[in-house]
Amino acid sequence: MRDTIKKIIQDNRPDIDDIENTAFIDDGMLDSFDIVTLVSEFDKAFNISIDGADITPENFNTLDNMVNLVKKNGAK
Amino acid sequence: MRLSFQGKKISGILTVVPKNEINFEDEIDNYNFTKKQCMKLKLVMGYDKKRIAPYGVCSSDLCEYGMNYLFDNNLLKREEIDALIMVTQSPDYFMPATSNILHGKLGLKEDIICFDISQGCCGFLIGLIQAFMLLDQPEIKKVALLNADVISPKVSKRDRNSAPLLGDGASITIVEKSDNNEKIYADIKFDGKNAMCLNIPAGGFRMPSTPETAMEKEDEAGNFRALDHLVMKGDDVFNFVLNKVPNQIEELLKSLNLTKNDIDYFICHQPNKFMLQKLADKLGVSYDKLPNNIVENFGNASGVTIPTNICYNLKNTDKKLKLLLSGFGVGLTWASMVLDLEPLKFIDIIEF
Amino acid sequence: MLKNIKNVKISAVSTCVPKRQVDIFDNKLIYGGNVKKLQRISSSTGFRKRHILEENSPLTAGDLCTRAAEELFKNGIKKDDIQAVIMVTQYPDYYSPATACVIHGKLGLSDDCIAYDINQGCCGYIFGILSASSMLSKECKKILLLVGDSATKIMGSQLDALDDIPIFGDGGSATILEYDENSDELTFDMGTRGSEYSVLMSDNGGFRNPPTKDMFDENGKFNYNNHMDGLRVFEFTMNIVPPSIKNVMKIKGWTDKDINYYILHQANKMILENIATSANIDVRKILVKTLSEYGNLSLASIPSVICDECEIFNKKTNKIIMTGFGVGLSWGSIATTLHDCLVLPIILY
Repeated sequence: MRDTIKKIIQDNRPDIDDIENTAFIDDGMLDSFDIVTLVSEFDKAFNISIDGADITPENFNTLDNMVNLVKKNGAK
Repeated sequence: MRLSFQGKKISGILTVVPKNEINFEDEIDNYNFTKKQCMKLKLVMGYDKKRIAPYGVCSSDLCEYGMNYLFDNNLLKREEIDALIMVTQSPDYFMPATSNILHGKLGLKEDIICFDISQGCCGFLIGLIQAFMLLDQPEIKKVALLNADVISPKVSKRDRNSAPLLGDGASITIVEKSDNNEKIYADIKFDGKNAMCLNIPAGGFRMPSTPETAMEKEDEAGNFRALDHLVMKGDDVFNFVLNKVPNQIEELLKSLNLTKNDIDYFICHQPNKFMLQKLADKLGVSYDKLPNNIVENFGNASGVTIPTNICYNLKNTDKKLKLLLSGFGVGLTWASMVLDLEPLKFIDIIEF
Repeated sequence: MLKNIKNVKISAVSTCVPKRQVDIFDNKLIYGGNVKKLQRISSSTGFRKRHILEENSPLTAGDLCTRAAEELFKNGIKKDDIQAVIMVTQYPDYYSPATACVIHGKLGLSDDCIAYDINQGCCGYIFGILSASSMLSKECKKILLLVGDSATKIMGSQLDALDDIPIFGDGGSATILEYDENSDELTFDMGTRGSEYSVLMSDNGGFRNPPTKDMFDENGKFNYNNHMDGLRVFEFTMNIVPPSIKNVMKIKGWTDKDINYYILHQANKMILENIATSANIDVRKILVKTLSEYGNLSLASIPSVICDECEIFNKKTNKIIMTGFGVGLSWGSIATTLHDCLVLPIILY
């Protein structure tokens, strides 16, 4: 799961080098349009629908947060 | 606030869209996106085709054209109209009201109630509520509700938050007394503390237009916008909608002892495809029952999206439908209504 | 159109104007300094003093209305009970959102409280009362109606007027309407003559003629290009107002003798006197002193008269007819008994 998420981020933002150690939001790397795209690709990849209320900047700040987000929304 | 009405119905809806169609792909150079990102957003957000009025055309022009179409095709008679309500954020003038100008141009009778309401995304529901209330008066039998916005002159072409999805349009809804005693229920709520989540800073009387307010400046996301232009805090609006709207719909249905299966269609305002899919998922309703195809075909024309949604998606149904209508946005306002839609005298989209 | 609405009580009114007061007799330029002419015209039209916003003041009609509403809250009106706020103005804070929504936030009203704007001119108070009255019910018991205009923002202060005495003041008003089964019916007469919309309008600044470079003067001030064909407006007024007053009297079954006061849009004294003659009503019952102190407050002119005459109306019982007329062109009359209504004196911002 972690690898899939990493791949999706990489695919969308090839300019980000160190995905494991970046604070995407704090460092201003991701904006709301990136988030929207990520959500839609996570949904597809894991066959889930991330709850709208969970689409907050905090949940996209780090790779760990995104893994937790996807898990919380039912990804196996 | 919870409201209920009885003995009223919608008898016809006509949507008028400008002929001029603009494709997202032709405009992507205006936005600070990569090409790849654009193609992804096109799918996810529904950025595709939008209708934009040609320079100089106002919301009242679309309304006048539509009303004359109804008169000319014997779908409506001038003398039947006892009240004319115009809901718009893009009036012809500060003074007088646009409804009054239309009253003159359309040659309506003097014995009429005629006024403008300023509302955005919830404008269809606010207008319907107003029409239902007027119909409580014995002398008022038929109300013409006009929803129209030609807001494109106030949208910066280089603002990726707004420009890809906003369109222009108008709709005419005829609301009248009915023998059917089925009740109509609505719930409407406001949060004025966040009124500025969607706003046009200059041009009103808080900050009158000056040559400076017309100057475009770049924001941190690479959008170019002037103070005369619409500003949308997309993230805040998204969170507001997903936090407030599903609860409102659930509670309204629950209080009426209805389940989601009792509703034939959830006809929502059309901000963008992504938000509507998330809304449908949250409600546990299929995308077929909660159409999200107006932005990609016409653009989001604020209060006009719900009637456009009905005209575009329900045109070919010939039986009575139970609908849940939901509007949300500017104000911030969120409103939902359950009503039965009997087959209409007219339901159509025409081009101006 | 429309006859009676039951169970509606006008239960409180307040009005707020800017503290800056100007007097036309301080203008030494008008009519080429011909004081006699100025005196003559002032005494026939009734216009003398006005309260207006400072030049380039950031305040709007919405602010004056908000202040008027706060004054009601200070005097015992509970804001938590308010279930709708309706703002009627021609000069909104923004194109979007509605000024009522902004005020909803400023006043801290509940999220169950409806908020919307109506755009109407001189008969905006009557349209506002209509819209509020049609919403009041056992479920929706209390509505805050705000009406106001800041005409000097669009016309300029006109302190340097040469050929015509300036008539417009700025003001905002707050009215509470309540569901009350013991109240006298509100009897309405209203209508619109849109074919004559162009006799009173501002050409620039809306979506028809959005701002362009040539619309700004050398100081960067926007020219809204207001114009009024006074004669046509006068004709319309005389054509429509006397019958409208008679219509509501007839439905009520009242005669001139039954009525305590006529509260008419403060267009000018001469017009109001002409209306009295034409409608065959007692001119002494038409309240006109407000226009000499505050000018024509556009939308707020009817409630400003009520507040200016608060010793007559506060917590008393009076049979009244209110009539607004002008921009649109539109008109509206209401006949009712104003009973036990809290009326506060005009306050200054």
